[in-house]
Amino acid sequence: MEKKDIIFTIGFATLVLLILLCFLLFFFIKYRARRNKHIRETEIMKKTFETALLQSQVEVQENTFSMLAKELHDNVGQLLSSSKMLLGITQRELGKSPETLTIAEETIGKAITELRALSKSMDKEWLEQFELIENLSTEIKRINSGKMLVIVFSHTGKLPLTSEKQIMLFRIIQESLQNIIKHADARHINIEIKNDDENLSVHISDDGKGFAGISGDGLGIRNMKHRAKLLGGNITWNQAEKGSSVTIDIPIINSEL
Amino acid sequence: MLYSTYTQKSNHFIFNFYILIQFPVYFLIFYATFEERRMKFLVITATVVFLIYHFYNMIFREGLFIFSTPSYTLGSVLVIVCCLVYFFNLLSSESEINYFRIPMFWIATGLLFYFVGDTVYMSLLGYIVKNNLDTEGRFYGYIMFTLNFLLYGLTTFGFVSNHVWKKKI
Repeated sequence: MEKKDIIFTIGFATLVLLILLCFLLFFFIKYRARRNKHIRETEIMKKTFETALLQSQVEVQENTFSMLAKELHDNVGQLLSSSKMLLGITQRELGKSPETLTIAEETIGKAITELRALSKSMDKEWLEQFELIENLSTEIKRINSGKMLVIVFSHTGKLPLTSEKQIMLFRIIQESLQNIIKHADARHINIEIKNDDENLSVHISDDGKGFAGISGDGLGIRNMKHRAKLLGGNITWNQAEKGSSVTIDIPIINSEL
Repeated sequence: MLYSTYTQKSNHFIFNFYILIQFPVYFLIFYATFEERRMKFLVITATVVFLIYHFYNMIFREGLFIFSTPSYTLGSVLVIVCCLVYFFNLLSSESEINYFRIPMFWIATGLLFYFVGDTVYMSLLGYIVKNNLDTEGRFYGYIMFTLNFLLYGLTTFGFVSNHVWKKKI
C-alpha cells in the first residue's frame, strides 16, 4: 500500500464516521420531534381532561346548590310562611295580641325574606337570568341588611364575560365573603371590580384579623382556586397590616362574547 | 510552531500540557450540564481516569517531550461517551425539547463531530509520523480546518440561536 493510499484510507474512514454521525443526529432529531409531538398531545389531552373534570365538579356543585335552593324555597320557605299565617290568625283571634307574638311574626317575616334571597343566590337558573353585578349587589344588600358589617361595592359597569363565567366568578366572591364573615371578624369589606380590554380584576379586602389560624387548603379555598383556574385566571391572597385581601385576575377573551 | 522555529526543539510538551487543561474543561462543562448524581459521578470518574492515564504516560511511558497520543485518544473517547450520554438523556427526557433554546445541544454536537473526526487520525498519529505519511501535515490541516469549523460554528450557532429565539418570544 502506498503512502497516499494509507492517507486516503484514513481520510475515507474519517469521512465515513462523520457521515454516520450525521445519520445518527438526523435520526435523533427526527425521533425527538416525534416524541415532542407526543408530549404536546399528551399535555393537551391532560389539560382538556383536567378542565372537563373541574367543569363537571363545578356543575355538580351548581346542581347541588340549585337543588338546595329549591328545597329551601319549597319546603322551609313554605313551613315558615304557614307559621307566619298561623301567627296572623292567632293575632286576629286574640284581638289585641301580645308584643312577643308581633315580634315573632316580624322575625318570621324577616326569615322568609332572607331565605328567599339566599335561595335565589344559590339557584343557577335564577342566576343565569341576571348579571354578576346585579346578583352581587343583591347579595351585598342581603348581607348589609344584617348590620353586622358594611360592604362597599364599586365596579366599572357591565362585565365582558359569558353568563357561565360570571356565575363562576360570583361563586368565588361569595365564598370569599363567607370566609370573611366566618373567620375574619371584620367590620368593613371593600369589593372592587375593574376591567380593561384584556383583563378583569376583582379585589376584595377587609379590616379583619387576617388569616391567623385558618387552614389554607380547605374545601372552600380549593374550590376558589379550581374556579379561578377554570376561568383561565389566578387568585392570590394577601395579608395586610390590618385585614387581608383576595385578588382574582381573569383574562378576557372577546371571541367568547 | 513559534517555539519549534526559534528553539529547533520539539514542541510536543506544550500539547501535553494543553490536553491536561483541554479535556478536564470539557468534563467540567458536562459536569455542570448533567443533573443526575449518577451522571456527575461518571464525569468525575472520566476526569480522574484521564488525568491518571495522562500523568502515567507523561512520566513513565512516553515522557514529557513526546505527544501522548494514547492520552489524547482516551480523552477523545471519554468526551464522545459524555456526548452520547448527554444525547441519550435528551432523548429520554419527558419534557418538550426545543434545540434552539439549548446551547449545550449544539456544543455537544460540535464536540461529537470534532472528536469522532479527529480520533481516527490521532489514534494513528504514531504510525503516520513513523512512516512519514503526512510529511507537511497538510492532510491533518484539512481535517482540523473542517472539524474546527464544525466545532466552533455549531457552538456559536447554539448561543446565537438561543439569543434570537429569546428575542422572537
